[in-house]
Amino acid sequence: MKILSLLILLVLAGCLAVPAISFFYESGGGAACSRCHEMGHQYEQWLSSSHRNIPCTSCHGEALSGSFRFHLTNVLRVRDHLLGNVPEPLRLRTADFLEMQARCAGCHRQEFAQWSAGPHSVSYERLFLNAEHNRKEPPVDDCLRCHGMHFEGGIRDLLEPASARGPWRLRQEELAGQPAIPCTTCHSMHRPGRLLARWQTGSPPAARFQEPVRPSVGLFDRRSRQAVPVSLLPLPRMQDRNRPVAISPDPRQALCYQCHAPLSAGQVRSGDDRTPTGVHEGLSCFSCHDKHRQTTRASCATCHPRLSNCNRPVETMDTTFADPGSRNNIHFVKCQDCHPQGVPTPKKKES
Amino acid sequence: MKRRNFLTIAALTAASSCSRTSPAPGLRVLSGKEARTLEAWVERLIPTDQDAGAREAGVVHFIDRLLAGWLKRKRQPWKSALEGIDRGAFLAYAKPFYELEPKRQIALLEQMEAGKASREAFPDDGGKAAFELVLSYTMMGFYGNPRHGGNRDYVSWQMLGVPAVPVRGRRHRDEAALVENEKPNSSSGKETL
Amino acid sequence: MSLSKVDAVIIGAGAAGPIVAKELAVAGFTVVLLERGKYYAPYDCLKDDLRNQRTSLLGNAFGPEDEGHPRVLVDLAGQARVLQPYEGGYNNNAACVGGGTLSYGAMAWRFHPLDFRMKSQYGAVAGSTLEDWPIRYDDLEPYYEKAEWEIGVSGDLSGNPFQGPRRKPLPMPPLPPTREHLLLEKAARAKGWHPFSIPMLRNSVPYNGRTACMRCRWCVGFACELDAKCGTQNTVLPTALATGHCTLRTECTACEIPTDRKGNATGVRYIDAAGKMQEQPARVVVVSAAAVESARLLLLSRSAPHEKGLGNRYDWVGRNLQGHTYTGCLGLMAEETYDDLGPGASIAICDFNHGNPGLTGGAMLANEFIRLPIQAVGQRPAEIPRWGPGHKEFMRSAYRRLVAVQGPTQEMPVFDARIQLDPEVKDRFGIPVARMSGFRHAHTIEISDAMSKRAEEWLLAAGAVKTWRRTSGRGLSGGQHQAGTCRMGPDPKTSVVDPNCRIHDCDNVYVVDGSVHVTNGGFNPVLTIMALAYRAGEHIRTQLGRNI
Repeated sequence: MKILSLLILLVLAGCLAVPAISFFYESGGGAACSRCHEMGHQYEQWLSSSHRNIPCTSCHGEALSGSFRFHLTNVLRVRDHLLGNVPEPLRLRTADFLEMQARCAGCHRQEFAQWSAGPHSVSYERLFLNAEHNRKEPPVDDCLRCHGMHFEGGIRDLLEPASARGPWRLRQEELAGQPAIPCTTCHSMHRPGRLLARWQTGSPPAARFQEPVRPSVGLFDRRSRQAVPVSLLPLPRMQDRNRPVAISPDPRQALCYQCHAPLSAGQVRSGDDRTPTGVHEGLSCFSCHDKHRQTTRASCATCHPRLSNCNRPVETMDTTFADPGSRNNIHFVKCQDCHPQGVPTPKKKES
Repeated sequence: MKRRNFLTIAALTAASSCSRTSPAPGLRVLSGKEARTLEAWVERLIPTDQDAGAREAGVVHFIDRLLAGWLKRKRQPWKSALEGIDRGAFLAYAKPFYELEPKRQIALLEQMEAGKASREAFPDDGGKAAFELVLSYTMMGFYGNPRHGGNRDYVSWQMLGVPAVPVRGRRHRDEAALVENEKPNSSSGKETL
Repeated sequence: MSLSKVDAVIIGAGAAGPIVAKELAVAGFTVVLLERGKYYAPYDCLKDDLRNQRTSLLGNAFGPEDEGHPRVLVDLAGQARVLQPYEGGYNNNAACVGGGTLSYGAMAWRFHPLDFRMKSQYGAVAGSTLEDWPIRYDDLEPYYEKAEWEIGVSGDLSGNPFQGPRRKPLPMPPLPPTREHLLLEKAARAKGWHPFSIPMLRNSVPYNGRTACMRCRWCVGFACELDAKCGTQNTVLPTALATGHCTLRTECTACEIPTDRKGNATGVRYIDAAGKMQEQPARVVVVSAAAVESARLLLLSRSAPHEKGLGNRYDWVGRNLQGHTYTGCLGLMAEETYDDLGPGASIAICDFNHGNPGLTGGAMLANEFIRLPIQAVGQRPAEIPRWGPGHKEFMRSAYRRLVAVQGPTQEMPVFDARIQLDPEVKDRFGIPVARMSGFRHAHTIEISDAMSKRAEEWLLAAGAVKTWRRTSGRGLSGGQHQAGTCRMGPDPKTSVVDPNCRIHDCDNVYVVDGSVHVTNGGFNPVLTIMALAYRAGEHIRTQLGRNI
């Protein structure tokens, strides 16, 4: 009995200590956080990141938070710290990443709004409970490479049943409305590096619209639970049957190619590949696609009608740009597709 | 179970407030001196040249993390190895290992590899076991996946020309037909994703 | 409280167990499938190159767990060492649902007809218990076919004249060739050999409701994140479970097969996931725990009718442990051959499985699976230093030009290569562990050396600028291809099970795994194990129907 009450007392003291300790660390800024030596590496990275002027608490939460989960997580971390069960590398949990999303939105409002309006803001529910898709392509662990990569677990832990036979449900229902491709999929906040390093390109006109590569851009690799910076991601060598396809050297595309990827043979149009061939061959994904919303609605005008083979209004041509049902995919369309009898010689421009 | 955990934590809290050799900043187990010795050692095993070596790859960091995890209960051979090589360096050149010129460091490591280092430093086997231990983990820390704390930024894979992650799409169920019929213009009806 | 009686209890959900379970369950018999490991998924490994079933430097991803499952190995000098599952010499096979088939390289070989008739073909070999199988290739052929089509095999065997007759081709085409494949193919043809695409239990096209391999570099040793590798865990097991007649119990370790006074099994005693001893009564017991653990379980099952262990009246249980002696050769090509395409292994020749003058058998030769950087570390010629600038320069310049050719040398069974119970060392449940002792036959080494030379010829013909052969020591064989410890034979005095895999002096205990192999062929054994399981499953089904 005595032991029991003593234990309760100790537990209570422990519970109170947590917010107190959290508060202590927060008031000391990042340096106090890194006093806990496991965090040193992350702290150093943060110091040289573009977020170095943003205090830890802005993204990771603060002690005065009323969230039970926040304090519980902290207790568990202290326990792990003391028992020496510190994971390597230190990492955020699924819920931490998802909570971060709202905090990103706090500052990057425009980007967030764009992302929200685009296809990459798709929710777990829409992706994983799509019956038609699940029946056609049974869910496997590899799905999580590009969707729900922050989920800690395999497909069996996420989806019940993890097979082609439904009905399906998410094991953690709270994930349903959560984004499966959040900001942290492509952005790692701590990644050190020069800010806005300028990328040189020699291929006008697209170059004028290409941005420098931010060192924080990289794919969150679910297997190692770290972001792989875009500088380490490969640009594939693409082929159209036997013909090598020219692709833009824009290194940011390496990020896109991780998920919008061709099969191993590197054939254009295989797998999820959308490498432009035909009239748009050589363009970067970003020449046409907005990077957060992925929309292409205003992009034609950057090149057309200035660049044109026939001086016709490109936006109304029979392509998937004008009509998603068109047989001419804008990524692959060639002049011959509309001129099967042979392409007329371009008329000389009348000046 | 929970209670045992709790007691362990209490005991550990008490223990950690008392002093033990505290790990160097950024490390979990190795002391500053041990880390310096180990760094000099692994640097000789995979030296830096035009490409990063074991030092830049964070092999010391890798080993330190393992000593806090996988090797938690097998720390003794590491302590002996690091003490042994330093003792060997002192006996021969009156300097700690990490202060020796590379040539001498190499000479000492070669002796250990052959099991011919001073028996005063390595009473059992002339340094053979210590050498093999550090060599095998250096290779793991340099060539293994970065998730364990080594091979920082995939430096060794970059050297070998192996991309960190390959570009690999998945064949869709209805794709076999698509590829066979070679219908480049058949539209999926989707513009972006 | 004892559990209700079932028709069959099967010990081990590896390559064979789930097949037998499925064969019985679809016929309406009730089955309990016990597995000591967990039902792992790819997430439990995440392509960790230091912790998987191929490279277990930091442990095995798919079991056995790092602690609590030691074995004892007696080396050639007679020194006994306690080994953990991740250490060399442990002769590990994965301990999980699917067993080795969850993470294997997945070569799907039928044995050669002569592999079943080794003694008739070559005569006795001194110091070896070399023997014919009591069944022949033709007996297994329909079951090979069933395995190929039900589990799923891709490849193209049309170019291989050295194989038994088959009624049906493979259900899937091979994956497209790699650079290495093309080089070796040309070279083999120039030598007058017969190269062809290795049959693999891997989807090259969508098959059986699962997608095709995407050719990543994390293959053998890892669970497939696409589920494109075909194991028992994603084929027959789901079918068995879907019947509603089969119950899978994971983390359940069998520790004894109790028998009645007549010596027939009454069921299985096992320790469940909670650590509680349970007894599952059954009409039939099937042991499918792989050569080391199956033998151990039989030896642990002592009772008055079976004093020396179940099926061990004549001291044959645990004998003839064999695996495959992999030697082969490495070659450094003039140009880069690495194209980052898994699974890597792709081309083989069977020209040297038999008919080698002076040799009793031979081996299939194939190019090696794709190597992760850590796996290439030891692959160097003798003059290249293991460390320092020389090592680094070699890795840098050679990694993308290295080609390995190797093969599973058919081994000469040795009576004294064996599994016993260790008198002292116990596992986490306090049960005596396997004590492995013995050696490889000298002729096995001769054969494997000859095969290495063939591999070298092949590499040189393919343009290798430098080659170096690998050799094998005499130490005990086993590994993932472990076999032989419960030999199949007609005579109870010189074998453990009959041609139907039933233990000779017991009406209702079967051993269905590589243990029953008389000889282990010059091929990866898994398809043979699967075929045997289909065959045994059919037999048990008949027996159960007859109300034994």
